[in-house]
Amino acid sequence: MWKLILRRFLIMIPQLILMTILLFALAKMMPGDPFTGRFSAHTDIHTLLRLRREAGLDDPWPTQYFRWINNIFHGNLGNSFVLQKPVATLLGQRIQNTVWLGLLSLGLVYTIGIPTAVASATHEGSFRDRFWTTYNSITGGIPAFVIYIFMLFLFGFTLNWFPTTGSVSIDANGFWPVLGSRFYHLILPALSVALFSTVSLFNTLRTSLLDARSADYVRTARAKGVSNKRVFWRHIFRNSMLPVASTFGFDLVGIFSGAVILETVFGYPGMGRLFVQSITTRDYTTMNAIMLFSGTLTLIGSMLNDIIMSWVDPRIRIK
Amino acid sequence: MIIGKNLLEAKGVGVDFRINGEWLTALYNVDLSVKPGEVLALVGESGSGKSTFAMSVMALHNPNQSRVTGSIMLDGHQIVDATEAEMRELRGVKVGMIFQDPLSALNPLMKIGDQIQESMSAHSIVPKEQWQEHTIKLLDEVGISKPELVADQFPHELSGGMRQRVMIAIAIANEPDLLIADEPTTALDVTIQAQILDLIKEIQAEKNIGVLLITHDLGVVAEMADSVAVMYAGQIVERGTAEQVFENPLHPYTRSLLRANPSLDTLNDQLYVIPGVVPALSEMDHSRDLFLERVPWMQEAAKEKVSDVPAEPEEGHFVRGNAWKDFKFQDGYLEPGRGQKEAQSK
Repeated sequence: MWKLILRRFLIMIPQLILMTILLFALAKMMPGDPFTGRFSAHTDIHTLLRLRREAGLDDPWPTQYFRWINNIFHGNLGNSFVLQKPVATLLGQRIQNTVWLGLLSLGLVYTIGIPTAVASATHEGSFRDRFWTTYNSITGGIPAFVIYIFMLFLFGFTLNWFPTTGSVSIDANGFWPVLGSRFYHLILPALSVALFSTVSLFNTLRTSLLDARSADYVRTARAKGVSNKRVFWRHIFRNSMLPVASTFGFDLVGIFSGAVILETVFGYPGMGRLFVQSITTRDYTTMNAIMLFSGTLTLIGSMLNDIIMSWVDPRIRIK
Repeated sequence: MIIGKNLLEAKGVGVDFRINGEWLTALYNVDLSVKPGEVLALVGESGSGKSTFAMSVMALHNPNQSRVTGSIMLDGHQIVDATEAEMRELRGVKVGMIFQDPLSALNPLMKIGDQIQESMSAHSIVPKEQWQEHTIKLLDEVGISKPELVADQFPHELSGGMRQRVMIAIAIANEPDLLIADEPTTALDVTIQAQILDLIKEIQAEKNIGVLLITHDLGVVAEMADSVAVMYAGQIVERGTAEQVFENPLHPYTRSLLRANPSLDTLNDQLYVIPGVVPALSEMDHSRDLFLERVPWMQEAAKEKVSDVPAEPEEGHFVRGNAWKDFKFQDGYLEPGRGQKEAQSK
């Protein structure tokens, strides 16, 4: 097991290097540079050229690349030219918001998705099965931003039940009021995700439950005289969770990378929104840092997937 | 004629399945019995209803999609109208079952030892503190050389023969009186088949249990069985002792099966092939002798209705219908075996 984890970790290193080269190349291929946007008729062209030289933008690209990598290794992600702050500080502020929202959303998706899939599959063809299947087909068919805007409009603006923007109220003071206010701001976006993003979990689990139900090993278990309850949980449910577990690594790292559309619609100051902001304001340093961050997360996610799968499925364990 | 009590006694068993809202008969009027220590072979082609019968004895058919009629007595317990809770007490305890494909029949995510112990944990026959020990003993008994090691392994780490040995260990964990082996060697290599059959035979003799052996391999039957029941289209067409059925086969189906079985003596002859296939459930009219439809020169007789009560031309040897009385092979009608044809054309 530890060998597998180590091996999988070593594989990640060349992947990471490749990714940084790709990101660097993409950034270099983009027209303009961080100074272009601040160029006006009154700017002295010599000042601009001096600034470029001082920022090292005239150096050959390998030098620039290794400087960037070196800075990353020293925890220096550069400064945001637009927000005039170190990018690391910006990310630090946003990431906790994103993690709270991600955790709550993911938790809700699983607590809603798994029981409904079980209820559907164990009563195939019944009213509740048809209800949940139809529900998931409908919600799965509507684009997420339409749902988010609808939820925001209904519960935020029309009914005034929940705040419509931000992550915490300005008037909240002290530990508990702040925590309460944070949670209050989380509910609507998290519920919007949870109620409408269960479709893939639901469909995967329901289908695999129905498949497992008629599996030969289930028949063997029943032929042993094992109780239906145990047959279900030990054989049918456990084996059906394999396809669900196969994407759990991505779900986990998804907590950190943020949800672009969700955070934008709900005006929630997380990573996703920062990313959109950095693109619209041509804040290349921030943008690059976020891309590097989510890219690394994706690599970690796929590593986690492999580790989780080898942990739950003995057939793919590597000796 | 009944000597000793029957372990398994099926009388007039019928099984209907609901397929697309329509009830179709899969088994019709099946009479069978297995005595303690007896090996009964249930033979027939694919689709003849052998496995359906086995699943009825275990009461493992989906109750919403099937209905079982008649009487199946297992060691004094009526199975046909038993509740699920009552059946759970019988499965594994009175009757153990081995399936065709040991890879898919074992849970890929559970260790071998756990799967055997699950058998014991479902019943309170083996005390909990002995589970571990009993598991090792069972693995040893079914001929696995490093039982401690294998108990800690997963099914995919074992060979096909080992897996089937594990299945046997699971089936006999609670010392059942009846063992149902549903084509136990079909998915195995030829060299392994004999070993598994020997093992079943050995366990049967040692523990004096009854075995219901389901197979389409007549070689297996000849080697293993005390008595034989031949099934066609959901009906028993002939049954008797192995000697009676092999030495003096009566029903046209039995005779065709035996003739279609390649042997060393007939190696150079054309292989006999029964034309056609078992009819679909929706096309089975169980009041007639359904096999005769596949005999080109007996199309008239195929239309006759026959009695549900079989004839008993010699003691303990039953045969269904009337066609057995003057059945003769007419070679002119028969197509040569496919393999033979290919060999000739080369």
